Amino acid sequence: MGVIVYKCINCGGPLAFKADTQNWTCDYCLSEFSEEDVKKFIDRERAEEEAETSEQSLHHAKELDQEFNEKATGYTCSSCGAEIVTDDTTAATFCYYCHNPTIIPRQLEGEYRPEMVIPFKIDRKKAEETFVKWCKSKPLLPKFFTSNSQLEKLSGIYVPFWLFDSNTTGKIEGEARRVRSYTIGDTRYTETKYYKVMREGKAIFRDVPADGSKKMDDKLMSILEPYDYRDLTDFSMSYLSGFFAEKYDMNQNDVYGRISNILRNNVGTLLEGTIHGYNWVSVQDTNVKLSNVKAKYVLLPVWMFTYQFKGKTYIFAMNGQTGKIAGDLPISFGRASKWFGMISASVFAILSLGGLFIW
Amino acid sequence: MVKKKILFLSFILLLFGFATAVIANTEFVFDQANLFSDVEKVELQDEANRLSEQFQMDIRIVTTNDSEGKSARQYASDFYDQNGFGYGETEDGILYLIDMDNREVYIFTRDRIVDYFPDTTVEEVLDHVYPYLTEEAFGESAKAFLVDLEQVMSSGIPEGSTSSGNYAQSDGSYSTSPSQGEIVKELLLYLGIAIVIGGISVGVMAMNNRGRSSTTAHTYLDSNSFKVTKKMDRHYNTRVTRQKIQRNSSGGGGGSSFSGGGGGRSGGGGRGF
Repeated sequence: MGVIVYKCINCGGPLAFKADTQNWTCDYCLSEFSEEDVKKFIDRERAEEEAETSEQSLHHAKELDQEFNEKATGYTCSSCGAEIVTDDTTAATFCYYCHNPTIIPRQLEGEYRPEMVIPFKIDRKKAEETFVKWCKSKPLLPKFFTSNSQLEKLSGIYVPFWLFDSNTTGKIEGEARRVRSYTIGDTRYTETKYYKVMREGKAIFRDVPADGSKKMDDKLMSILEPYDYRDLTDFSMSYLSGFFAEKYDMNQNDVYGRISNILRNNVGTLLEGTIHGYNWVSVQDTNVKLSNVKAKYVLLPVWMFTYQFKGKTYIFAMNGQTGKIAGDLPISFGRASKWFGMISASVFAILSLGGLFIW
Repeated sequence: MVKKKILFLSFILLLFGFATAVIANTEFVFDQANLFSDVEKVELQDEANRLSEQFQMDIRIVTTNDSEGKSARQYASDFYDQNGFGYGETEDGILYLIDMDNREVYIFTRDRIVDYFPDTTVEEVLDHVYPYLTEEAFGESAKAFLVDLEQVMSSGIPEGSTSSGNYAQSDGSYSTSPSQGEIVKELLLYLGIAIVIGGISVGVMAMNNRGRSSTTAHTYLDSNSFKVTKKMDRHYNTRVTRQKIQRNSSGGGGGSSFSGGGGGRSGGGGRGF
């Protein structure tokens, strides 16, 4: 089966996409290649591939080949010849034996071909640095988490995402109250006015993301948002070289429920924000309709971390473009009690001093 | 950490500095009738200053040749209110007036101090200062007043004073009391507040101990695409509740306490000479 390893034109070493320089560098002879160079390489590769397929059809082996295509999850490394074992959804990986970055083009063909991609902006070193810095800013983290715990795995993964565009119309209905009080003589009057409120409105949302991979925790992925879509570029397999990549195993209909929930909440929030001038508002009914829904398939960069600390595994994800981090850190009971004691004691001291000597 | 400690200390220092600055500049003696010698004025000022800080109350000594047609009581009350006397944010205080127009001496008390000076106590103090006044030894009378004041305040609120133990003022605020039970109660209240604030702070830290969502309803909204197409605010009911306001009836020394213009409780008594 065909796999692609981008090879240096000068020395034949493997090429990987570098996030810091945003180009492709050969680790062996340090040659750098721009997007254009790599495109030329792709074109040549494609021409060879087409030649291969036409050969295959000549041999009337198409039926057999299809069966193989459906079931096979093993590919042969084009550099060392070892078998590359992957699962159904992997589109880019590394050869276990020679560790060359390997791309499996079949996983990116047809309906699985992403429209666009945001290339990695943060490289491995910067990802680690950002993570350690983030940890240090957390007052309740056990002190030895970053030094003692073991960074088990750190991998850069292109995660399949669906970006939805949708027009929405919404209607909310609810109750509102306005309270005012005044004093006449020795009597305080409290007047409560009751209102029925209703708002109808429309809004257009663009590129609302939902990840299309069952492997990825939806909550973790949603905390990574937002991505800066200005960096979206037309998809090219070459960006995957040197990273892992997944193809979607949840199609746009599978993730539609998540998107419609998000949009319903957003439209409700927007409409609620237009109810002014009351002391109390309660929305009882929200009705949102989506129309003109369009989805596009993109790959977005994510760094995944797995930390081992005191026998427990902690999983974190980092936005490979902005460095935003998702995941739960362990809480140190000792540090929490220390902070609690310090804050409570200070507040108590201020109140007591103030209360006994000044007020 | 160090920064936080410094901030906390400077805050405390600032509070103390502010409080002492206010007291240092206060004028306690208003000798409009020129009844005191210069030496007496300084002595009275120093003594009133000392007692004022000791008992956390305002102490003013006023003389006048012209009571503007008012009674001594009314003049004392107006003088107190118009000058905004009182200790700290309270109106607690006492005013000793020698009114040469009406030839009357008057002891005026406000709020917390009313409870220390029921009618019997006022009469006792007047008994002490009266002999000096008849001899025109006005400075001595004021000194005698301050001596008595220290004694009365030190011995606490006399039993049987109509509103002893209840320091709630008519405006609902609570003034600090010198009694032990009150202090313990307040400290417990402060402790409660401190624990709640500490708890909330640590809770917020725990919430921040993870990555948090930063998207809002506006993140993916196409700019300017949100429009309200229809709105309705229909008023369908009104309810009014009435509540009688509990006003504190004047509680000070029996018949001699009256409500002054400032809204607080007043008390006192006087005698012609």
